[in-house]
Amino acid sequence: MTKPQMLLSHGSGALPEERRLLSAGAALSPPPGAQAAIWAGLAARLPPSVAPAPETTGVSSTANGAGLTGLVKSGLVGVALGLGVAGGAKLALDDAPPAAALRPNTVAVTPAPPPAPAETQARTVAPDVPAAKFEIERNNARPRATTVAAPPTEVEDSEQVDMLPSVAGSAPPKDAEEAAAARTSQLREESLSLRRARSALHAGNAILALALLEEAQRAFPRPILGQEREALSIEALVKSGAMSAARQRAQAFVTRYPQSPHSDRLRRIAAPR
Amino acid sequence: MALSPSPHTLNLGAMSQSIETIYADHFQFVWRVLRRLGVQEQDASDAVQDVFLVVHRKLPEFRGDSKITTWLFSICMRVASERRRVAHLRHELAFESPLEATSPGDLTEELEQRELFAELERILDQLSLEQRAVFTLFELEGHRCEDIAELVGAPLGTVYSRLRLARAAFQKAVERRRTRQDFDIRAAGVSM
Repeated sequence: MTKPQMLLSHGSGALPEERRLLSAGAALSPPPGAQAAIWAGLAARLPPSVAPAPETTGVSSTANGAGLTGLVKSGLVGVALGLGVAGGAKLALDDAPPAAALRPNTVAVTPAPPPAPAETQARTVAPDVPAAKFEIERNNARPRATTVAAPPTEVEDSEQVDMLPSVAGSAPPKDAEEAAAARTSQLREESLSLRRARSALHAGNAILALALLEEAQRAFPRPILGQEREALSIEALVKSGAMSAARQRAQAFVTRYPQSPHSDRLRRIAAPR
Repeated sequence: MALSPSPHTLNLGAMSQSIETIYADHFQFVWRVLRRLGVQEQDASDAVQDVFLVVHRKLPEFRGDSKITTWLFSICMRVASERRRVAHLRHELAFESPLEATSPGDLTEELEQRELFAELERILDQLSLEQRAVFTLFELEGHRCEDIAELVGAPLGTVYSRLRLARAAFQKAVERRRTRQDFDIRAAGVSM
């Protein structure tokens, strides 16, 4: 019997799509901080004589020269970060403020009007927006204001969708650190909104996905993940049966972003039938 | 900082290992194996703990006759099997951990990778646990079939057979996926 060759190896004859899927599987690794965080949980389930308390634990490790003391310390940070962001995820999904238990490091999230034309994260409160105000736990984030939802704006043409980073030409922020933090915050909020839409689409509810994407469009008129949003919208249009609109937007997308990682897939939709 | 020896140590030749050391050395292996055997992301933490709790409990009985990875893998198989069964009964929704990327480029790539891995998981879910184990160890971990035979405790011929069947199922699923995407596009086009 001849020895089999890995599909990912050169010359295996695997299709590109097979390679992409397998590569994603091969790249899988635990999230940062998981090793220490899981050890902390495990230690709590082991007898004290076997598992020293995390802060007193130190193990020489071939996997991590820092030992578990460092891992646990970083893990606690990781856990805190994970909880914070997970809290944000829940917040975004539930659209309801979390219960108390706010940490000192919090991010105030208040409804705000559309942003200034230039790349900016600081938005002021709009009078016609519900006055809900809540906070997201966020580790290592300085208290500041950012946006959850902006008032509806004119639906933009797909040709005009504000796509990936549009920093060029914008005025340099006075506080670079503040701007970077705000940008990271918007990234996370945008990604959450896209994940909600993607989940709806995968569940077979294209109409809900489109509604969520429209909502995201209103909330982030100057998106950081514009390409992702548009690609997902086109996919949702296909699934909902609006093929003509999907094709039109796909054509606009691939014309404007021929090198985008989404363009290969969208060209199949854009192709005339 | 040096630790005092754990009450339970594992004798592997001249080497003596404690639960802490085994964890530090093999956490990554255990986590990846569990995930690739179908343990959901939200269950991975508990499943890893379950594995190492068994390791701790069975340490005194382990004589070191086989590689520690073989032993760990067999525990992972049992834990994953149980987790899969319970998850199936509960019809759990998939959970995604927070995104790690902080730049748009990285985030785009991370989102795409997640989507691809989710699709791979859906395909692998169609395989039996035994086929899935062989397929992922060979195609994703890069183990040789001889090593896999030892890891899963099956004859080499059985490993070859499981790999062949799993590959056929994988390739068929990828083909179906592509056909489905084309069909979606054509069907929507016809209905306009």
